[in-house]
Amino acid sequence: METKATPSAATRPAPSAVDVFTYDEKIVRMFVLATAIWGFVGMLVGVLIALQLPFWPANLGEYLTFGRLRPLHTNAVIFAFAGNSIFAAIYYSTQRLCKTRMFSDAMSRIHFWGWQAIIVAAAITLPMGFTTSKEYAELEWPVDVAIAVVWVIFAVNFFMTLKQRREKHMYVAIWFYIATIITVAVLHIGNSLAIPVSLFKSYPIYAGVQDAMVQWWYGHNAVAFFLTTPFLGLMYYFLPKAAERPVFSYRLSIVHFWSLVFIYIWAGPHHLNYTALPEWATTLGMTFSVMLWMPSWGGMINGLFTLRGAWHKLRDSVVLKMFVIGITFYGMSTFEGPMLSVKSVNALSHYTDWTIGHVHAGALGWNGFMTFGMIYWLLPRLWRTKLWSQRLATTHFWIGTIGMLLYVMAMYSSGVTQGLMWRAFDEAGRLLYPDFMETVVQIVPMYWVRLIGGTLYLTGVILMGINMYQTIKSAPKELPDPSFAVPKVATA
Amino acid sequence: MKRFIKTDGLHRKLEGWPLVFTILVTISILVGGVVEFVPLVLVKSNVPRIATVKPFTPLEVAGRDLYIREGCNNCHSQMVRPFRHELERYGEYGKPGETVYEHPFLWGSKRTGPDLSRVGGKYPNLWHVRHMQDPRSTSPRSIMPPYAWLLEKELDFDILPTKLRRLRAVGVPYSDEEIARAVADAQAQARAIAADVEANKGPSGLENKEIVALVAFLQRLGMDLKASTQAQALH
Amino acid sequence: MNPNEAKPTPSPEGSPDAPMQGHSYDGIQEYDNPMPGWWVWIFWATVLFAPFYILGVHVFGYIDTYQEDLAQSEQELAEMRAAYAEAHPSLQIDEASLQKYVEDPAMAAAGAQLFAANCASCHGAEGQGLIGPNLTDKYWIHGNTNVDLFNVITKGVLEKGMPPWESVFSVEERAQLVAFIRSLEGTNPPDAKEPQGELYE
Repeated sequence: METKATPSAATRPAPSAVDVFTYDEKIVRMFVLATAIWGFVGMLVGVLIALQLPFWPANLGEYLTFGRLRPLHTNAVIFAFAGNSIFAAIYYSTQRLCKTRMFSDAMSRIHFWGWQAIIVAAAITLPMGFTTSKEYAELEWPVDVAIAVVWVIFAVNFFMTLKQRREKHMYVAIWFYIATIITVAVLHIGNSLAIPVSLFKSYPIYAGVQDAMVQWWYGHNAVAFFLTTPFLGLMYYFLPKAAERPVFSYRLSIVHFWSLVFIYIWAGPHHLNYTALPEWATTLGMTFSVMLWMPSWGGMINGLFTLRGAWHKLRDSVVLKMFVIGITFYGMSTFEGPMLSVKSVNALSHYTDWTIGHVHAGALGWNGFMTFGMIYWLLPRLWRTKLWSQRLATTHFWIGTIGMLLYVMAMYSSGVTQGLMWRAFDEAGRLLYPDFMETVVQIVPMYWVRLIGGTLYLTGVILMGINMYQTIKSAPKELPDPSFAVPKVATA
Repeated sequence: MKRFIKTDGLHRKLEGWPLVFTILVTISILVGGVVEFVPLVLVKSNVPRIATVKPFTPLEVAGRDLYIREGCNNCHSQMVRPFRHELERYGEYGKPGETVYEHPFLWGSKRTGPDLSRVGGKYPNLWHVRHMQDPRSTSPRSIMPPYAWLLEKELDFDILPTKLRRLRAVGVPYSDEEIARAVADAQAQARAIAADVEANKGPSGLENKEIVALVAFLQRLGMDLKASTQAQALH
Repeated sequence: MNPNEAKPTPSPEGSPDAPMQGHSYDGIQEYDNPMPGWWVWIFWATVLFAPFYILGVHVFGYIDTYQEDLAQSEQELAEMRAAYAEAHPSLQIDEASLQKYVEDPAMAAAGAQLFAANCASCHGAEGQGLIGPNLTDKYWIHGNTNVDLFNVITKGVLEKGMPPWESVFSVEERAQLVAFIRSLEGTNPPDAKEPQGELYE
């Protein structure tokens, strides 16, 4: 009903008895467009670095080597693609779940433009070699300061919106947004503490073992609180909307939410199994990772079981197709994660492409497909028109799924192959492959397969871009913010 | 539990209190980090000191920062794990005390190329120069890109005293004297490496180039622990 | 139909599946289904696994630590090597036995393959010397008997950058390399590095 203009005069109650308000949809449209644009850029860089591994001449000089572009790829897809996607989801759903407009349109715009400026700064500074070397936290201190400022503005805007809500209770999606906003702030500041040497060079205050611990506390929970909790919030809003079915279990929401936010933080040290980090810390990391399995699957269950009685809708709904694949990949990678954290499995997988396969199952499957599903659901609503082509969207779905499968299969086989070669001894008790190069040459064919998979996935995103462009072209000129009316109640 | 999550239970009340909810979330996410991190700082036995582990020389600091700039850590780990096959391939496994002066740590997470934490002294200086210039000249099937610009770009010596001062601020014990002679020390070490490269028929005139700093850093990797085990063997 | 006016079909009144009263957010309703039993039980199992594992590694020792694992696997490796050495008595390394390799062209050919893959990067494709010394002239830094060459390959000359190849090449392979290097003498390749060490005639 929110896409309608104000209720007609005939049905409108007496002015004193209703509260009329609007939702800021323009900001959501801005974040949706930014998601698609940066998604394309981030994945294009991904395809380039995938080419650089089997074909070194694709390292195009000083500023475009694998070493400099890989951080650009990870930052772009995490913070630009997934970041803008969760902001779109949060700005769209929070307003509706709280029955109020965002607290401040100005803050929303500062958040949007500040975030885009940070991404542009990343795209410039990383190829120039300004980097801290800490994974997913490569950006140097001036950009880090900007991230902190923009995030705080976003947080204030969000919490003030909660304060002025017209709904007594907060829906589960909001819980996940709260966890996201608080934890990302804590992680970002905790891991970025450094002393500047020059405008684009700093040394972290931590050294060696402590620095490693802080980095992977951050790194693992960037996955948890930037790529998992906000996407669970997204799922809890957009999935029941698209399926038109109630959420499966409220009490499961409660239990899996609190266990997830409490346990996730402990899992960081599993990235440092068998390193110089004291073994007790890695034991904690491993056992808590194993404990994380069911809390993660709680989200998957609540997602998939919500579709009970609505599975037939999948046939005609590309949105639901995308969501189901996304949630399935979430379930797969949150089983694989605890498994990889088990020390004896990690002994084989660590330092190999298995890890790369694992993160891409999560990133391409869960983050990517949930984002695409949301975008296809939002497009006709935000631009008040019909989706230009359902068939093209379905093609995107299939081409993306196939690309993803090729990608992860290639990486699993490459990772396991290389891991086994590294540890192989001959009958005389000497390394079977003493020359590291032999283990590299062996996996180069898998790198080509990965490149094909990644290219297919990117092609899907390009199809989505075409579909978006054509849909938006057919949108009405004026897109006024939808208004909404509720009976006036005394606000708590 | 039942009372907590039933339809009108305590949790339902909590859903109406964003501030309390947010505080509880904050506490939940802080516990794990505090339990895992604080003992690493406070309990000294977690990071036993190794007497032979010394701070990097000024030139090595410059080289380390180049290693970071080029993103070498994206493809090379610096952490040998305690497995027999890694000991055979690389050498002694990594000890907590080895990296106490490393801001940031460079253990890495992926081995597209081999581990480098024991590479010091394994190859001659000239090997590294040629390898950076054209990796396939020393490792025919290598997939590593060339870093030829390191042989052309001038090394910034002037910033070294500032770098040492900042590192001292975060806990690396450089003396005033070491900071004062940082440039001279770095130039002397650079000249020695450049002379060695030239003496072995490598390119000449590298003493002001970035490559010598990177070579100095690579040649240092693992040497402190080696000195420690040699010292132990003597006793 | 306006897509946003989606209303979930209400379940029959009184069914256990009925959405919860008062739980409606922007049209989204919630059931209060019980958590699946298997989910609850696996969760408990993983929670109980933690103390079992932590105590096992760090208190009672029924699970091996890193050091214990390493010591055990190193021991197994040593036993494997001992057993192999016993079953395969290595050839005697002396001047005469190496000379047999040197005189066998098949051995030199086998050595050539190993050389191309492992040694050429430092000594040049034709042994003309690059980073390492020239192997085609009559000058040698560490002696020029067959045994001298064999020992340099085996143990390396660390201070000069020559790595030890003991763990990479078997005794036979090292002997093949000696044979190949011997075959290089006097080949006079182009761009040969200047002589180093002492002249042996």
